[in-house]
Amino acid sequence: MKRFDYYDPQSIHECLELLGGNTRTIPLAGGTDLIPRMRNSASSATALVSLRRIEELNGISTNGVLAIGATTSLASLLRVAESHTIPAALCEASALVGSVQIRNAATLGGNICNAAPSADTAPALLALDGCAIVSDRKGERKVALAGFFKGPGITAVGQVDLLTRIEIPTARSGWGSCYLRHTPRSRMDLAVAGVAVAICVEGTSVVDARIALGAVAPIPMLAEEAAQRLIGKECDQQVVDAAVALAAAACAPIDDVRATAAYRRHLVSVLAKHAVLKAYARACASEKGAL
Amino acid sequence: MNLLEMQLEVNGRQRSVQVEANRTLLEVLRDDLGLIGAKEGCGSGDCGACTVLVDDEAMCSCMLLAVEAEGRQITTIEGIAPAGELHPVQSAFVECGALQCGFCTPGMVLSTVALLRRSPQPTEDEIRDALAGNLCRCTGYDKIVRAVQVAAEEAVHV
Amino acid sequence: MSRNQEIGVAKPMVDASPKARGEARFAADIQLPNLAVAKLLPSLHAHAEVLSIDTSVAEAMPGVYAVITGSDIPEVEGFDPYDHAHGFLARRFAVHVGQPVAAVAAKDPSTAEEALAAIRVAYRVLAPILNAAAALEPGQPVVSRDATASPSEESPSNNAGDAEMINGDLDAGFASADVVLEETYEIPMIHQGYLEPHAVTAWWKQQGHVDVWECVQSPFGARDHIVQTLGIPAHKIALHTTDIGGAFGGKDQGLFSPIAVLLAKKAERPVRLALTREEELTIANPAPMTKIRLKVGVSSNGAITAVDGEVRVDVGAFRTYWGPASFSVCHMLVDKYRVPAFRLHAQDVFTNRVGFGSYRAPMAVQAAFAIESMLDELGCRLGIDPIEMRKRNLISEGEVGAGGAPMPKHGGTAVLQSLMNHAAWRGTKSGRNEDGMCYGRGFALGLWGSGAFPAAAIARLEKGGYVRFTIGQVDLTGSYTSLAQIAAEELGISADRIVFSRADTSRAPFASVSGGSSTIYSMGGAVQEAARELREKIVERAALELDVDRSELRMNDVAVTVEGKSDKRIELDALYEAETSLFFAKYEPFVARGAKGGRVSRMSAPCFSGTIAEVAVNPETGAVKVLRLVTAQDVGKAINPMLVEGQIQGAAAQSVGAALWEAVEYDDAGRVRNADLLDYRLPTAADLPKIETILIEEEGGDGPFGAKGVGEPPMIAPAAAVANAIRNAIGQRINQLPLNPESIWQAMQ
Repeated sequence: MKRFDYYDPQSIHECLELLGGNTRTIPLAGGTDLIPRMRNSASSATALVSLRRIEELNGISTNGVLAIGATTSLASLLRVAESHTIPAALCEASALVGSVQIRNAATLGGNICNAAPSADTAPALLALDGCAIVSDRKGERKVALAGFFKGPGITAVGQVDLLTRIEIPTARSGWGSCYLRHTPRSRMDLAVAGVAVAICVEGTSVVDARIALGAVAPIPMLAEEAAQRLIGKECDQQVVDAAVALAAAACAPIDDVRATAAYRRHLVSVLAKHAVLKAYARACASEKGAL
Repeated sequence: MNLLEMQLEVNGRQRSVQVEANRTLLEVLRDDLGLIGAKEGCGSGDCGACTVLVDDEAMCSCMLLAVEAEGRQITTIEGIAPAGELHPVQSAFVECGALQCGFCTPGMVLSTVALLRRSPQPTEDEIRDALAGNLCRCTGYDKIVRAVQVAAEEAVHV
Repeated sequence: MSRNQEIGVAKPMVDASPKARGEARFAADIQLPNLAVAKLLPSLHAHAEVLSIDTSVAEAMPGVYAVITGSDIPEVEGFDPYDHAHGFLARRFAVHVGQPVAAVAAKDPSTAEEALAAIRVAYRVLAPILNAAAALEPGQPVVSRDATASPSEESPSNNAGDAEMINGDLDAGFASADVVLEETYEIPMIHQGYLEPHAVTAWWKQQGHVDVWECVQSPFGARDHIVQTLGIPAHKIALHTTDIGGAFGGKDQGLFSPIAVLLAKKAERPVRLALTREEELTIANPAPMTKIRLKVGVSSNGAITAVDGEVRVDVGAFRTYWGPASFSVCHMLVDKYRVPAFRLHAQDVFTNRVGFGSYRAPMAVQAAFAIESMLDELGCRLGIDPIEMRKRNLISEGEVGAGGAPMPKHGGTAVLQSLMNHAAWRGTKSGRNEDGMCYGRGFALGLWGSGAFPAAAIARLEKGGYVRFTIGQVDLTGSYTSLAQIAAEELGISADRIVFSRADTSRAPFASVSGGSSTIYSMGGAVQEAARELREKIVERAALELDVDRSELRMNDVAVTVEGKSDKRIELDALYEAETSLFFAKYEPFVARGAKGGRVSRMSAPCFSGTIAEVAVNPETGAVKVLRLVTAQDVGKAINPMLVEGQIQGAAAQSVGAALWEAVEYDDAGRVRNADLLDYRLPTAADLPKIETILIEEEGGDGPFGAKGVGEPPMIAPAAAVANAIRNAIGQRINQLPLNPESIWQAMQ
C-alpha cells in the first residue's frame, strides 16, 4: 500500500481542520472500502483522518428522530435494532452487506459516502426518507438523502465536509418497510439490483409510499412515479403490477461484468413486487398494533 | 510519512510496535510479531483467511490499519488456548475432519468462536450464514458445519 | 498379514492439531534473516513487443536490492518459447496481460511498489489474439514468440496441438441410431481457487547453491523447472516443500520460482515472492476455455451407436507439459461407455491469454459436462431414467474401451445402483411447485483412472520404536496420514509411531507429483513395500537374537514377541541400540526401501464417481439453490474414511462452483475483468447444502489394501449433475457454464 499521512483527531472540530488542509485528505471510518482502494491505488488520498476517537460520531439515539452516528458499525446497528425499533428496510439492508467480519467494521456513514451505485443501505435510507447531517467549519446542514448522491462515488459531502449522522423519522404505527436484493451467491456479493420500499397505511389504504432502487442507475434513486401509483389504493395485484412497471421503467441500468441492463430491469420488477407486498403487509400489521 | 510508536494488546499481552500508518494489522501481526496464523488470501476482505477477533468481534485484519487497532483487544488463533492445548472449537475441528490444507482454519476457528459467543445454539442455516465470510476450498464446508455443531453441543454439557 | 487395525479407521490427520492451532508453515510464512519482498511489473498489453525497459531509477532507490528483466535470464539449452515453464518473465514479447516484464526485490512492499512505478517500459502494441475460433484461420496473426524460437518450427501458427481419435464405422453408427442429437457445450476458464496464493522464497545460502521454499505438489518437478529455465545444475538446488494451502493441480511445479532465484542472486539476500489474489486470477495457471461440439446417436433402448465430436481448447499463450488438453477431453467423452463408433477431433489453440494448467481431474469436468448433458437429454427424449441410461451404456470389465486396453474390474455398476436406490433419486418432485419454485434432480457419472506414477520410499527404525519414512512427496491434505496407516498396518504397529520426513529434493528419493489421485495408489504402494522390507529385516534380526523361527514372531509398538510365549521378546529399542552404537554395532542399520514404477495405462485402477443433485430454481430471477448433493464413489478400500469423505465433499463443492458461479471473464483487450474474489465467485458455506457421501468398496484392486485414488474422481460429475437438475427443474437445457441466474432466466423467456 502506498504511504500516506495519518491523523486521529479527538473531535469533529479537529477533524474538520485537518480535512480543510489538503485536497487529498479524506476521512477513514471502518476502512472496508477505503483500505482495499488504498492498497490497489484506486484512491489518490495522501492523508487519512481517522474518525475512531470521535465519540460523537458513533452511536444511536431516538429523540424525536432516529439519529445514527456516521461511524456506527452495521453490526452495532443490528444489535440494537429491536430496542431502538430500527425500520426493517434498514435492518435488512445492513444485514446483507458483506460478511460478519465486514459488518463488524463497516459503518453506515462509510457505506453511503462510498456511494457505490449498488450500496445496500442507500435505497433503504432513501425509502425511509432519511437525511444526512453534514458538518463543515461553518456548522451543520441537512441534506435529504434524495439529493445526497451525485454520481458513482460522489456525494453531497464535499472535500472539507464531514458526514456526522444520518437521521430518519422514528418508526410510527402504520408504517412498514422492506429491502430485497438479488445476488448470484447467497452472501458476499454486491447487489445486482436492490429495492427498498416504505409504505404507510390507514386501514388497508396506502397514504404514503416511497420506492427506492439500487444498482440500476449511476446513483441509488427514488422511483417517484411508481410510489405515487400506490397512494390511495390497496395493494392488490393490479395496483402493484402497475407500480412495479413504473419502477422498472424509471431505472437506468447498464451492462457490466455482473449483469446486463435488461436483466437488471427485470429484477427491479420482481424485487419491487415482493418488496411492496411485504412492506404493505408489515404496514397493515403495524397499524393494527402488531409491530 | 510518520513512524508511529504504539502498543497493541495481542492475546492478552501488551506488545510494542513501531509502524507506519500504511501497514495493516495483518502485516504487523505476521511480520513484526511473528503471529503467522492469520493469512492473506485476497487482501480485500472477500475470503476471511485473515480473520482475527478485535474486542471479541471477528474482523478482517487485512482491511484494518494496525494504527487503528490501538487500544483494542486483539485475539489471534495463537491466543485462544494455552500453548500446545486446543480450544474446544479447535478440538471439534480436529475430531470432525473439518480441515484439510489448514489455510482457512485459523480464520474459520475464530469466526466460529465469535459465533458461539454471541449465539451458543445456532441452527445450521445460522452457522452457514455466519461463516459465509470465511471461504474454504478443500472441505465443501460439510465437516466444518458439523464441527461447529459438535462444539456447540459440547459447550452445553460442560 | 492383515490386522485391519489401521485400515478403514476414520481418524484425524496427523497434522490436524498443529494446523488448528495455526502452526502450519505455508510458503509465505517462511521467515529468514534480511528477507526481501519481491513484486512483479505486469505487461499492460495482451500482445506487445517489449522495446525497452529502463530500470535505472528503480535500481537507484534506497531500499531496492535488485531489479530484473528478461535480459537477466541466462541463455539455456532447450529454451522453448512455447513452454509455460519459460514464460515466467517476458523477453522480447509479452504474450498476455499481466505477464511479468520486470521484477524487483526491496526492503518492504511499499518500497517495492514505488520501484515498480519508476520502471519505464516501451511497448510496440500488437493486435491481441483472443478468438480461438479465428486464430487458426490462414492469414490470422500469430502469438509472437521470442527470436530464439525452436528452429524446428517451420511456420509459426496458433496450433498448439491437434489429434484425432477414430473407431468403428461412424456413418453406419448414425444410420442405425433412432435418435441423433447435436449440441455445442462451452465451459469458461476456471481457477482452482486455492485459498493460498502462490508463494516462493529463494536464498543463495551457500556459494553457488540455492535453497528454495515453494508450495508445490511436485518438489522434483519444481526443482527441474529451475534447472530447465536457468540452467542451474540440479544438485545445486534444494527445493523444500512447505505446507500447501490448497493446490488442486494448480501448484504442481510452481510458476515464478526462477524470478525469486534470479532476484535472490542479484540482491544477495533471501527474496520472497507472493502473488496477490489479483495476480492469481490473471497470471497463474487456470483450467482453459473449452468448446465441445458433440453429436451422439442412440438406439431406442438408449444404447449409444455413434459419437462425433470436435473439441477446441483455448490454451492461452503456452503449452504445458501434458496435452494436448483437447485430446484428454476427447478420451473422456467416450471412455466410460460402450461406443461402437466414434470420431473425435482435438484442437488446442494458442491465444494471448494466460497459459493453462491442471485442475483436479484436468479436463474431465469439461468433458463430463458435455457427454453427461448429452446422455441426459437423450434419455429425456427417449423417456429412459438417466441412471438406467448410464447402466445400459456402462463399459464392462474386460471390454476394450477408448484407451485401447481392456477395462479392469470396476465398481461402476455398484455406484449406479446405490444412487438409483437412494431417496434423493426416488423421492424428488420436479417442475413448478405451489411455492412458486421449480424443483429438479439430476444425475451424472464420472470416471478417472488412478495415477500410477513412479514413487519411492525409504524407511528406517528410530529410537523409541518410531519408524521414519523419507519420501519425495508432499503431504497433500491428509496423504501422510493415510500413508502412515498403510505403513502401520504393514509393520504391525500403530500409526502414531510413523514419522514422515518432509520432502526436500536434496534428501528424498524421486517422487512424482502429489496429485493425479496417485498418492495413495502409487506412493502408498512404495511405502507399503518399504514397510514390509523393514519389518522383515527387524523380524529376521529378532529371530537370530531369540533363536526362534521367523514365523513365530509378532511385532508391536515396543517389541518383537514370540507367539504364545510372553517372556520371550526383544524390545525394538534393543534392536535399535544394536544397529546404531557409535563404534561397534552388531548389525548394519535397519534401512529399507520400496519403489513403484509408473504405468502407461490410465485405467489400471478406474474409479467411478456418480452424483445426484437436487435444486430449486426461482423462475422469476433464475437463482438456483442447491438443496442436496449425494456422491457415490468406488474407492476400492477407504484407508481413512473420514479423509476420503472430505475429498469427495471438497471436490463436489468445487464442481458445483464451476456449474453455477465461476468463470474468469475477459474484455476485448484481453484483460481479466473479475480478478478478485468478489466477482470471481467461490461458493461460500451459505451456498452449499450438506454433501452426502457413499463409499463403495469393491474388492480386487491392486493398490495397497485395495485402495484406489480418491482425490480427482469426485470432481467430475457434480457440475453436470447440477446442470441436469436445472434442466429437470425448468424444462430447458443450457449448454454454457456457469449456469448463473441471468442465463437461466434468459433460457426461460
